[in-house]
Amino acid sequence: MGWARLRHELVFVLRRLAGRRRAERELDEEIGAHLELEARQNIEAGMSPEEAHYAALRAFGNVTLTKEESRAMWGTRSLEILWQDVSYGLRMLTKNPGFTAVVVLALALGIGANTAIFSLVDKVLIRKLPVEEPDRLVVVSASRGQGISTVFTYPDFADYRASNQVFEGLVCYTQRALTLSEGGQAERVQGTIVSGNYFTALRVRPALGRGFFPEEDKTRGSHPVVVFSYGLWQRRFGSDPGLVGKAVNLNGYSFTVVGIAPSEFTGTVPGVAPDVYVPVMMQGQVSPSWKFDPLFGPRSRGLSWLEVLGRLKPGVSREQAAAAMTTLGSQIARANPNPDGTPRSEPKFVLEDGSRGHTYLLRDLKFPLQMLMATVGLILLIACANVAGLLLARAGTRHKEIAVRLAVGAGRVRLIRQLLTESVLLSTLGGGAGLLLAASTSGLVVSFAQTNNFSNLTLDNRLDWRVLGFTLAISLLTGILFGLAPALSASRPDLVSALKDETTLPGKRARRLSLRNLLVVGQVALSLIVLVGAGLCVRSLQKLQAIDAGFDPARVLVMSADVSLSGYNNERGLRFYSELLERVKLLRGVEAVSLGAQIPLGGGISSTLKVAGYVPKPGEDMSSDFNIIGPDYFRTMKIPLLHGREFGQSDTAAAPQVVIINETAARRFWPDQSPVGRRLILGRAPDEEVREIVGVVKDSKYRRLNEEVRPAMYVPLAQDYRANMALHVRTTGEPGALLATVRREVQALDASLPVYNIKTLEEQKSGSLYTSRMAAMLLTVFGLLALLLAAVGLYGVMAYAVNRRTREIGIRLALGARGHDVLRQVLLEGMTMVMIGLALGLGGAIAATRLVASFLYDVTATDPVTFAGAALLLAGVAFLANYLPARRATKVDPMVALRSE
Amino acid sequence: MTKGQLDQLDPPQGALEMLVLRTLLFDPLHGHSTARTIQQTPGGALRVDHGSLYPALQRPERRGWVTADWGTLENNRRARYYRLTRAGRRRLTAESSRWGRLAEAVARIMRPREGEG
Repeated sequence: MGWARLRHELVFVLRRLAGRRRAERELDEEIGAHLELEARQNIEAGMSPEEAHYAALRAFGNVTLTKEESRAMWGTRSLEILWQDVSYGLRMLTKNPGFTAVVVLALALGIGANTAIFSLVDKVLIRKLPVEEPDRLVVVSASRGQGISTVFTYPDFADYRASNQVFEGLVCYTQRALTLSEGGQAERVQGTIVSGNYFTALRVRPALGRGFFPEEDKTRGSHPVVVFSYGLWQRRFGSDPGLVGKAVNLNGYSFTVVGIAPSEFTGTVPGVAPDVYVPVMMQGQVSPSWKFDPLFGPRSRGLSWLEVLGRLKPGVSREQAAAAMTTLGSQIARANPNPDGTPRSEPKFVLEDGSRGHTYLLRDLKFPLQMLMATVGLILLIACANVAGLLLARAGTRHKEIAVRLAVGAGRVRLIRQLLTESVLLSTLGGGAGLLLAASTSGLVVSFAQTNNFSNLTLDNRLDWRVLGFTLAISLLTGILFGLAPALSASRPDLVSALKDETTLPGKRARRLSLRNLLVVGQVALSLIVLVGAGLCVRSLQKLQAIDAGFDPARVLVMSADVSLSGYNNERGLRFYSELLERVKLLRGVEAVSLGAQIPLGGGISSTLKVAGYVPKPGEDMSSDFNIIGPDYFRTMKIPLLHGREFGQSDTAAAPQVVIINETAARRFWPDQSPVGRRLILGRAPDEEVREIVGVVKDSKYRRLNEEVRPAMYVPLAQDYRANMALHVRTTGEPGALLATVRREVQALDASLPVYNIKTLEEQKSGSLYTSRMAAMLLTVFGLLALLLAAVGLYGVMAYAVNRRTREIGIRLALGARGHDVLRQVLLEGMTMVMIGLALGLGGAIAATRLVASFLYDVTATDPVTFAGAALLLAGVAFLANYLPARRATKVDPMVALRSE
Repeated sequence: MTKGQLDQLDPPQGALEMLVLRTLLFDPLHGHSTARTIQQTPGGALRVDHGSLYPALQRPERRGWVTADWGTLENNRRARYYRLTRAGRRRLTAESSRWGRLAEAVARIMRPREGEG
């Protein structure tokens, strides 16, 4: 009944609102009829027509009031007021298009920057996996003695899954690139190898077809099935529903497509959007170059390679589950000792929030993103202060209008509401423009996240309802924030003087001026903080760019190939690579050529090592950087050879096992003698290899430019075969010019083999600084923006102040003051605000930049050069913004000024 | 101002609404006849501006206690005829009993001895 009544009322109100004019006309008609009936009855009672008419009116009472009160009963009043405010506000905005444009632009920049950065923050730090009840998901990791590992062996995973009592489901997965060949076209796609229960345990229902069946998760290699991502299905197969059930060629094997994942599901590792999901049982087909069986083989408990995600049973806490898993892990470790009989270390489980999946790829982005979010927040504050200042200035010119409205009886609340409606209108316009700005720059912002270490990071850069909601919320909030102070102060004018047009008396309204000054001080202070932040990032970037990588990146072309995709075995693969080297070496314009498993400055491989006669200190890190290379590698990279020799054609698989080490390793393990001829043991799971040192090379940077160089080991490809290698070509001329020629040589050997990841080492080097460079660039843009806003704000306030005091200045000039004195006085006034702002800003910057210290390279967070530079720049620009209106003050003509009112 | 007018009473808003509903109890009426009917209360103790009737008709309509339909008068003018709905009847019953109790309670406080004497 309550609902029916509500609905009835709503219909009544809406009908009156929609047909407002008609409703009013009908009321008029009704009242007209009433009066006529009354008059007629009066005539019948013996009155004259005129008398009858007036008597009817008397009996009726106040006609206008009746209409007014009847309308009030319609309940449409507050909506009408809102509409009045909005349309009045819009009229005011279109009346001052210049003012509106400036304000909307300032707000668009502030809100747009926030929207753009928020859309990225949302994707990286906030959004949960689009699965049912993501909060019950946990990321499983375990520590064994030192360090914590997020990867597990397959047999351990299978035991945990089968025997635990705490998880509703436990899934494992890892990423592998695959080659999809369709219609003679080979393409590298992002694959995720998953346990068979992946989709069921995560509760992801495929958009089409099915997930994996339990029997597809039992025996190695028996069920070649695959689930495609929605994206790949759309892009490559035009959303053909007939794809399910068809066979496709992956890595040269035929797989049956059994399902299409839903469009919103892009795997469980944010930043990696898999194209295909393959059951872990098909591992042999997916990574054929592995030398042993990691699922059921005798050494399979020696290789951890699978990430594990679990869904907790309802009511089980993470701590309970971790304790239960630790107990279970110990039992399983004791039941399965190492192949040599030594006991396995027992894992201690740690369960972390998995509602966002495995977020390790995005961990490095967290801090820069927080920094950017804070910066754009500051920009928005500056924009707000700026717009508030402009509104105050305009309130000065609208003084009379407001005074008139107050004088004729408009309520103060009503007036504040009107002014706030205007400012919210402005901020909504600004928000809309900002949204457009953000949408057009969102690709750029996402590319910020794509640092070199995970250059195939894929983030959805569409703006969705969450971002729209965010933008709407900050738009409304800023509208109220910058509108409130001006509205409060504007609605409290001194009526008498305003109506008398006494706007130029000196010393009056000091209070409002001080609010305006405060806004300028705030803008200067906030701008200085942003500028200092930008300066520090730029300085840090300069230092990073000046680092000597230890190799010469100029004129080196690199490109990757994976011959396992063509189904080559080790022997065939080795032959391919050595033939390729021979062919490329002979090309005109090639200075040197070699191979490397790892391109420097793009992540890396580690290997532990043992050195005969060297006893590690307790807790000493005995891991080293590791690379597999071809002959002539150091000559190609221009890394100087200090002792011994490079690898050559003679270092075959059958020849003695050899290794080349870097200077750091030589100094650390053989401080007093030459290491050439000595032996060391490389312990890479699951094998250990004894190798003889044949050479020592100078240190070079391996993972990152700003790393501390660690011991590095290089082994020849022939002795540690790897199907996936990168060709390094040093050219005599422009490296790009040789690309087509080199690619032709690859195709001459194997026409179907895809070559990918083509770039120059210069690009690789600058790519490795991508995050730093983008941070420096974005912050510089934001810094200049802040500077511009502050300058405009200061200019506005000073121009306004000079304008208001035209008469005062005119009197002083007439009394004999020189233009020089006036200039100095106005400048002094403006620069006082600037100096106060700078002092506050310096304090704020010292507090704020301490937080970014860890992001900086070789620059302290309180770098005096940066601080001084930013302050000087700001002071200089502020002086200019101040000087222009001050100069205008000296040009005041006393006669004109005195006559002006 | 004449003496007669001074003696007339302005009915409070709620009461006017109740009177309107009561007037419409048996027949649909247009605004004018509603006003006349109320004015012709025995004793003529109530002063009702005809105009004040219209707001008092809007709220009941909004609440769904009365509905209104256009009808034609003899001089070819149109007027809205108000009709009491079932909800309006319920409302009237509730209101009049509430009103009765209120009036009684007020009367007892104002003239406490009347009941004894």
